[in-house]
Amino acid sequence: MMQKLKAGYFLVLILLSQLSGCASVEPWEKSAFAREDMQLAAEELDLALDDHIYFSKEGASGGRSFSGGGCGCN
Amino acid sequence: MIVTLYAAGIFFSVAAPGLEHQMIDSNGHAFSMSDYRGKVIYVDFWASWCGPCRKSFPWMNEMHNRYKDRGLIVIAINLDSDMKDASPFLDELNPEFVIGYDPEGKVARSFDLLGMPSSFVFDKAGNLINSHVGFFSEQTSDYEAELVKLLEQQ
Repeated sequence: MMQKLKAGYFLVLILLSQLSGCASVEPWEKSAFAREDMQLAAEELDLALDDHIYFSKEGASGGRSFSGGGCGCN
Repeated sequence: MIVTLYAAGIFFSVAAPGLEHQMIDSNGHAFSMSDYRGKVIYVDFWASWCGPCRKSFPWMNEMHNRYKDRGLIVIAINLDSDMKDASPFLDELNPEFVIGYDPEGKVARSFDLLGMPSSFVFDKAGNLINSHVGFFSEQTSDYEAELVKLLEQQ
């Protein structure tokens, strides 16, 4: 019983120690997020490959950047 | 307990928007916004990577040129962690007003910024009158009216 309690305390301590890894980023520290290569659509080739996978494996196209929903009517 | 309260007192007195905070100019010399006490002071926090900051500079130039003789001082504080990043931005937009640098964000922390850009308006007595987060072209007439009102006060 005592051993279990100790293990519990130990676990809580370890979890608490991980909280120091959570740091808030201040508005003026966001320069890295503003970089072009940090944007969601930064890599043309990557996006083209994604589109190809959606089209050929899932039979779906569109939804990201081109018109038409796969119904064949556009 | 007393020590804690005292420490908290120091902390809160420093961590508030005010004119006493020190920053450096482009040559690395320290100066304080309180050097301009007695004028209406428009303080703007910006960084070279921030898009809306780019929009605010021509307007601040306009305000500087229109009201500098009536006692307006515009201070734009750069928050790039590397001061050199600011140079291309400044070369492009040619600000004629005061540029300060706060690469460690000490002043920014004291002003407790919520976003970029942020601006703060102080009256001639050095009291904080208003603050704005972001820069919106459609609100410039409001920003200007506020400055004019403060410039007319004795």
